[in-house]
Amino acid sequence: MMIIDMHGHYYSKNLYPDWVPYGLDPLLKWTENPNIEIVVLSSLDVFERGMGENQKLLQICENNIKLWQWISIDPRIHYWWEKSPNLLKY
Amino acid sequence: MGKIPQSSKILGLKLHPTWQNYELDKYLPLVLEISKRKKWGVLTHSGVKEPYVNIGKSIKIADKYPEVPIIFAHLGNGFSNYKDVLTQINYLSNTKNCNTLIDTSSLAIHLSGLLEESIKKIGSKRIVFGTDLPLHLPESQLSRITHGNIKDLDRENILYKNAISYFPSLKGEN
Repeated sequence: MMIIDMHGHYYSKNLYPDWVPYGLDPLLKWTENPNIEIVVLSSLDVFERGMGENQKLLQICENNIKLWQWISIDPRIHYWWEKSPNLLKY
Repeated sequence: MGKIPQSSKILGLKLHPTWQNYELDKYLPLVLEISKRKKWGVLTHSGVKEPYVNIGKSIKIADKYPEVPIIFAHLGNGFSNYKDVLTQINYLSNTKNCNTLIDTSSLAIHLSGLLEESIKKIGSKRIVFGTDLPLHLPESQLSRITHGNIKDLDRENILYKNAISYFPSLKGEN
């Protein structure tokens, strides 16, 4: 049966304890399941490191047919929709 | 200054009011207005009693933007006992539009009856599958859906049909 996972995450080392999986490996392992058609991801790093992490995730998604993206935003930033994720920092 | 990139792999926006300490309903109208123009959906963190995420108020705002699918994440998240675990579902059952959805990514999803009762209250067409991977074990999250005491059609709706219905771009359709 086809499966679409609408809520996954990408993040780098040190956001959570070392024993929590992070990065691309757990995502690729999950998508090895042939029934997994799509996984839609947001970057949790954005909330700690700035919105440039969105761009990093976008490149990952564009290089993997099964990965899609939710863009993480801070709606308190004025005109957030006009700004490039790689230029914004909190 | 550039704009948020246009990419066919961007499905929409992710909000986390609880992490960032802002009231969702204060900013949601503009988020939904922009999402409507961009043809995006919205995924927001939520829970039974999550700080800064007032689902009741947010649903009333979302009702004004029926074109924009908004997913409240984490069915049953933050429950204190069985009596309050359906709080999010009860709010969703009060909406006049069907653009407000909930996802199954939650530790609480493993509670007996939660998924089944949720379907009874709002139907399976407003529930989408999510894992919260890699924070949760995705195989475990999937198992709750595949082994749930639900009809095969409900299972299919949750696992993929709803996603395609609300987000046609996932299958290359607009």
